[in-house]
Amino acid sequence: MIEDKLLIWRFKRGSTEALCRIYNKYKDNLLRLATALLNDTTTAEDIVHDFFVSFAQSPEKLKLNGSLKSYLATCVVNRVRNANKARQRQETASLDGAASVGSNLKRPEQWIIDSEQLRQLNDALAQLPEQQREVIILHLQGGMKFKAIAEIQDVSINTVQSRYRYGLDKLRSILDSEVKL
Amino acid sequence: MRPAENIEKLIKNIDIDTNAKTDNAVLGDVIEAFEKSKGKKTSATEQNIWRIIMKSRITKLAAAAVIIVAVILGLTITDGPDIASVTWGDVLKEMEKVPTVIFNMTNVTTFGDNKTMSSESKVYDAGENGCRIDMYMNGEPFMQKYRLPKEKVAYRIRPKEKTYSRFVLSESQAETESDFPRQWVKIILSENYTKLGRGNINGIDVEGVEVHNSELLAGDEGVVRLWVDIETNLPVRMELEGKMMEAGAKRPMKFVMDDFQWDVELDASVFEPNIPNDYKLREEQREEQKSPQQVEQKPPRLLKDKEKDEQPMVKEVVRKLFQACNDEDWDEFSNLWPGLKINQMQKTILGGLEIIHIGEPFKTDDSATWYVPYQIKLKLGEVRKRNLRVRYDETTKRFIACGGL
Repeated sequence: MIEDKLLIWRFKRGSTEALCRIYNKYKDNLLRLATALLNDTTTAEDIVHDFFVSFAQSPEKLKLNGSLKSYLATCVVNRVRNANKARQRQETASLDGAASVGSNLKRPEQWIIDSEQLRQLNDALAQLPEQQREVIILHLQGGMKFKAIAEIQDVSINTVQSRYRYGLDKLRSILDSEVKL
Repeated sequence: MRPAENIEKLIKNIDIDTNAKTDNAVLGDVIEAFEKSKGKKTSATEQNIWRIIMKSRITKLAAAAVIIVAVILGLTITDGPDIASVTWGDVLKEMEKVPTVIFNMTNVTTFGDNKTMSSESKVYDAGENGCRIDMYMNGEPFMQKYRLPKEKVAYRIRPKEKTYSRFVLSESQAETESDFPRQWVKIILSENYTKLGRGNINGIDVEGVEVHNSELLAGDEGVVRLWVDIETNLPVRMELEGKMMEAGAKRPMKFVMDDFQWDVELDASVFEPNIPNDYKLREEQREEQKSPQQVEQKPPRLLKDKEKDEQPMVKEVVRKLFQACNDEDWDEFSNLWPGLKINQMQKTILGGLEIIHIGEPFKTDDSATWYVPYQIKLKLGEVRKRNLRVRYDETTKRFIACGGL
């Protein structure tokens, strides 16, 4: 946390070294987050890439109230949401609008799926409603607090917690049914 | 263990491989964007922003708190106007004040099949008291050079050939690699450089600048960087990175000067040429290294019949030599001027030159030396009008260039 404050301070004063440190420290986390939310590695990489370029272009605009990790995650999530909206618009416009989000996209081949459980989990996550999936991934993968997620989703903390709970229940249900099969 | 019972743990454990190549490419784009954004702001604007920020009492307290915490944790904050920074205008002055320096030079060229050719040199420079350069090619000792201005003598020792050369130095010394740092700093700081901010090289806090399309690159693609110690205002590292013409093609090349030890005590024995007894003296003359201005030009004499026959061959050597420079074919250049080990600085100056005129070769006395008037235009715009010296080499039975560039 203190390191992040110093990094931001130095980054805003023009330190390339600080920018590199921020990138190296958080890129994996952000890429994981974006990939989990999109279920599409290529788009996730593009989003993280574009975000960091944009971030680097305007250090003076950076206004940080909370943690750097949360700020970066929020920025990437906003971009993911925009990408999802654009994707949904495209799918709605097409005749094949019934396809579920992400179902026909390049799957994240880079996932280290070291067990069948994780493969099932990945498939199950893709079946969740977008808002529930977002809460679960932001909280568990992104390490974000419910309060920060509530700000991103523009809902109350209670709603976020409900989405998290319902989401996990649904995941359990999906995974249990698969196991039973 | 059933999957549903550990969903939270499983989601946390999901990981992905990141591709190092992609990472580097993305980081490259990010840094480029950052540097461009810095280039847009003037230093005056930055100062003003700083003043505005620091006018805020809260900011002052916050900054103070950050600094205190950093000090407690042993961290080094290396940015900020209240901390020592490089005075770029003083770098050259500081360098000239220092009587001795040791530094390393490394040159690595990468060829198409990823093979590299590297040369490394360690330079010991004590100005008037002497200069020694130990050169290595691909890790093996290649040559030792000594320049001893007080004794007006220079040596080149070639361990592989077990030979050495001894030259008499003229009053004005020829350019040597030991002058590189000063020349580079002079050129870089006279150009439109971009500040790179703070960094740390081997424990030394530094500030850097970089120049794209520097005069040092002579039109090639690449970047030149200079890193200076914020405490001493003396260079810590200089690097030139880009694609250079080498053996007929543009190849990735990196030239680095680093490990500077400024104002170091150098024992006189460092500058005593240690020539083993079985090393043979090579027949070379320091005359070849003289600049045209150092040679007193005598009037041409009438040529003998045999010499008239030789005249076209002498002229052809000069034409081929300048054509090699134009083509940046340094193998051909070395073939036509075997006595000159052309260095990177000379390559950048001579590469791509334009031949304006080559005159008729003439002689001034009965020595083997021919003079060939020439006029060339260097890529940097300088028009050079001098006489190139050519002589007949008895060993190889052909004419070779030997001075006057």
